[in-house]
Amino acid sequence: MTAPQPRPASGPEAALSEALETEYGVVYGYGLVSAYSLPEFNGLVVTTIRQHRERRDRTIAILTSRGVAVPPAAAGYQLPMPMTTSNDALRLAIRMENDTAAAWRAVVEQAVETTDREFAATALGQSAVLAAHWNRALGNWPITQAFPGGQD
Amino acid sequence: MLALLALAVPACGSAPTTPVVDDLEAQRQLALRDSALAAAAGAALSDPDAKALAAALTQVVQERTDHARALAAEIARAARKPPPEDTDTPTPTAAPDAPAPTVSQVINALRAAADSAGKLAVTTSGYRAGLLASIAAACTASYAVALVAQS
Repeated sequence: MTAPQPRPASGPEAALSEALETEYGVVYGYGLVSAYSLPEFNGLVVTTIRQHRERRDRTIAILTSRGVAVPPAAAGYQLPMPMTTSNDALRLAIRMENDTAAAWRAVVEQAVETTDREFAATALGQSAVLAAHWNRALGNWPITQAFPGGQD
Repeated sequence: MLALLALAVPACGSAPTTPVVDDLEAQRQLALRDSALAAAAGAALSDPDAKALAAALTQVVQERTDHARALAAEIARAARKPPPEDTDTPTPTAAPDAPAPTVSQVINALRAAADSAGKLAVTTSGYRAGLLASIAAACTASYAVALVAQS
């Protein structure tokens, strides 16, 4: 049994660790989205949270399998915007999917292993789809963007 | 031919089986094809109730045009040439008397494009991989959400 390696400052494992930290915050944030959004969005909330939880757990498993220290979740998170209405909740959801897309695109770019690149590219696609759903729920237009996770 | 020689150097030790520029150019052609296809499908919509669909098709035209531009810049970078003048306007893929493409055809084209860009993303690395994965994600969101009628 060897002690986990300290977190690397750059490279694929650093990008994965940062994506994991994003996913921690997003799972936390969707608890608030769930609390504040209207019941008609329950189905979307459930689908979204499940996806982020699964991805968080798989990312922890990847880091663990490589002997990289898994960063812990924070005790709490500062909301980037006020939260009083259902539309506030939907705006937070859109922002979190955009943050997720950026984090996983960084993993795609930093990855050395093909499996990491596949996993991250899938995550990027899933968050682009969820962002479109949340944009539509809010009545935004357009609901999609040309370059999820970046501005090319 | 000189340009092709310049990119025989694979990125980060990976060994692409086909020249990088050819693969990127194929992606650029897909983007231009989809842009033209979506424009033709939008122009053929007659139902005035299809305004939302027409707007979604216009957005696909814009995004796929943006993809073609970004891919042209990446091709220029790979070939170590200055990017071309932005003269690419999507050309209609069908003869004028051919039946207009349907939204289903646009959806199928985008699904194929997402698959193709996603596969290429996984075999490349760095910024190029990120760009291709982002393009694949955009195509997926378009065919899976934007072009699907709201229930």
